[in-house]
Amino acid sequence: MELNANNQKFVNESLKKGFRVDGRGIYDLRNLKIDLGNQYGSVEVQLGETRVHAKTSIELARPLPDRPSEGIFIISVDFSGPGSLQQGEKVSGPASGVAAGSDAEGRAAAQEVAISRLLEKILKSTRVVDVESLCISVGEQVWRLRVDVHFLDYGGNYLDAGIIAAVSSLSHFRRPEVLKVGETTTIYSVEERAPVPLSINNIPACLTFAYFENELLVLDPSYLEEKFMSGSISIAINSNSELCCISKAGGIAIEPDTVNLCIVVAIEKAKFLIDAIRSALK
Amino acid sequence: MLIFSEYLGLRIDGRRANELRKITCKTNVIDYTDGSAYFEQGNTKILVGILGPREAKQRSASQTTQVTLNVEFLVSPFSSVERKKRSKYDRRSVEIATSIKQTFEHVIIGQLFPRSQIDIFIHLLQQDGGVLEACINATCLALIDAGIPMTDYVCAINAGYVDDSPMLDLNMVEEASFDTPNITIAVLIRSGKICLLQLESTLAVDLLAPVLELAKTGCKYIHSVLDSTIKESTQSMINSVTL
Amino acid sequence: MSSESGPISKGIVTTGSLITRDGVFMKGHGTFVENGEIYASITGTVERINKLVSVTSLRQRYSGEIGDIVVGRISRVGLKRWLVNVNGRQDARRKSASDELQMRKFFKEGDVVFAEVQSVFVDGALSLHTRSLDYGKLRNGVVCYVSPALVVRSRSHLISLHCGVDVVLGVNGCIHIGKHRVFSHLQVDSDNDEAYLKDEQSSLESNTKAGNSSTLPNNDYSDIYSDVNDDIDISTRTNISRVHNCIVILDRLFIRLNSTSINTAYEQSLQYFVPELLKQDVANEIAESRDNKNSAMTFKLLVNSVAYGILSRTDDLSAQRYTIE
Repeated sequence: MELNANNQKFVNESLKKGFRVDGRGIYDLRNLKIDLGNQYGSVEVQLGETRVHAKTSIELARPLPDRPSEGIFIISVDFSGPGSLQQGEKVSGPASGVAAGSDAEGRAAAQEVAISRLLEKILKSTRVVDVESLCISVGEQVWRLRVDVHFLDYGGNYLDAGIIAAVSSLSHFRRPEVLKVGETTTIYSVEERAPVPLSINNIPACLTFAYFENELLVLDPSYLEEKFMSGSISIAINSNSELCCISKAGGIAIEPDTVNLCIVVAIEKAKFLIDAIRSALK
Repeated sequence: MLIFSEYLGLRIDGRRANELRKITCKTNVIDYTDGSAYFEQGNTKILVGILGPREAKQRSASQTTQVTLNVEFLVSPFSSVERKKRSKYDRRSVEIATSIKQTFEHVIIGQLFPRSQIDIFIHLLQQDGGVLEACINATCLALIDAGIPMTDYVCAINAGYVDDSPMLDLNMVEEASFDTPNITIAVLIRSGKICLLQLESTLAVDLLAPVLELAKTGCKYIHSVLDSTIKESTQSMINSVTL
Repeated sequence: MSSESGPISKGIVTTGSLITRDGVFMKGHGTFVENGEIYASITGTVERINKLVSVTSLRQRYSGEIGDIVVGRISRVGLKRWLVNVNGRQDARRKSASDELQMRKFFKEGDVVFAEVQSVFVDGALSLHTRSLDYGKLRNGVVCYVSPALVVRSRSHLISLHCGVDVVLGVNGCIHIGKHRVFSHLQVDSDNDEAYLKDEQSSLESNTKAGNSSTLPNNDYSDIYSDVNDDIDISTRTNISRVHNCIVILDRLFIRLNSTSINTAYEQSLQYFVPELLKQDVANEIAESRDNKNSAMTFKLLVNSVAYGILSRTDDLSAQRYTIE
């Protein structure tokens, strides 16, 4: 889609009058749809026009040497194919000969790296999954849990949709049951015994705000709003209404009061999101 | 391990809760650059070199309305306790480089240099906590040394909580502790607006405001150190040139 | 810290400091306006000319003005113009007045040129011309880069030292040091610029078309665009290197470059061997001796600046190896 200065002016002017281009209120989320797949742990989330798919899988592994009583939790994020951020800047060093358009091995668009790092941070810092519950026998066998988040369609605000998908997927997932009797550990396959859910500590929700001139805020920016925003701030709240992650990187500087306002709104909306995830899982 | 000894009110390195580590900085340390700075905050040591604004090396990478900013963050293998070689394309380095680029993009008056590029090379020589913050401070100093027009100083600091006491300028041990929420904040000194804000662990909502206030005063102190360094070196240049 | 502007105030302003609240003033270089107030965007001294307030910095990259004399190196040969690297924010351009197909015959990549800024484009790029015989290709010498703040705009940018060395000071901080250039019967006087231009064009055309006679023998003009260095004897080469090292010392200690300072430094340097000049203690002594002729310089500055060691600029090594372009 070709975007130009006229589009930008339109978005900004409408906001000054209190309107968003898609007709939403400034603190309204887009339509959220959580589709549970046939397999446990396979979830597709649609937030407005943004689509994300998440899949959880598990396997046996040896624990890390410095953490013998903890399981391993890996988050993998993928932007390939139709979901890639087409206008993402490619990372090329100032002195390198790599042209802006090419893609060398090992390098990812800076924006994609930022989103995947944030996703990881939120999931790990909130301790969504109790990694100690993934331990089967200390120092020998643990579960290696892996969440694959695959971004399918970029309609704006990848981060919030990605978190919803990952968290839903983890909550939906069932792992094989493990029974420990004395020295013997029996791992039952899914046919023998019904699989059990993961031990989820708490469910975080992430809310991203985009801001424009004069620090006008909107929640859950669409593709158009993200293209023309002056900056954004993402706030993750857990189910105890505590802050678990704030990220305001780049964009124009904002007043601390704006940050406080975002936090207040985020706490409200987080309750709504967490309820939506919980009801979808029933 | 006791990080905060209530008995004496001192931290593991002997500082009080709101004390910053010692800051040493110099400008114009690298010859073949337009601006450079060496910055030490406690044991964290950063060297920044700036080239530009100069002709954009690739036409495709240049913009017609404003300057293109390129940031490269390089970690020396000897910078941490264990020797480890890190590529400049490793995810953490890319993340830090991107944060710095985004921080300064809106502070540098880029419209003055269309079709030009500014290259910022940041070398981490030793790390002991507060790496991103020290990089931002060092880059600000180097940009001013290079004479690149900006609207304000950008100063950054990290802060956290230990046992309900807000603390400034966490070192590596304090940062690594699970119980310490770690907040990185960069402010524009004149306006007090927030350029960069990162929180990566759980924190109760009402604890945020006091720690932000404390961080702002820390940034003001850092600003005064940077400002006096700049004024001193400018004064000595003026003295020698007007003889 | 706010400093009310007065005629060339002595105060230093740093980035973001308030200069004036008075709406009467206009913003110049190094300032920006916010809410009707003028702030400094760089660090330097405030200058006020009538209603124009600006901040001058000693550490900025060269940005050109009309009439500046610059020395640069051809970086690219384009379709109708040469792109010259003058260490500025963008490469400068020199348009081709004559044959576009034979551009490399006149200037090619790597050549050093001495030119004047004719105009400045909207985006800051410079347009150069080499219309007088003083200008054009420089050879028989070395190039060295100093801080642009040390070269003051003045009438004459060509300094001839007694030892047979010519120093060309470009306002952009690029200095060419070479063998003394003798302008025989091609001596220029400014009235004849126009005539020269016509001659140049006609003779160049005649070079490409066969058989036409030109007003002056071909040899003299091809000499101007020649790439071949003359034979230079060892003593002149030594002198060129000596002058080069003196200029490096003056740059390192942030001393203005003019014929007085260069001559004094040169005379003081005669007591040392050429490579010795780059040593810290020798540099100090030469600067101190210059001291005696002018007013005192702070020793703290000497210690601070020279203590950062000898990290060479590109052509330092070439001077030590006595290579000449």
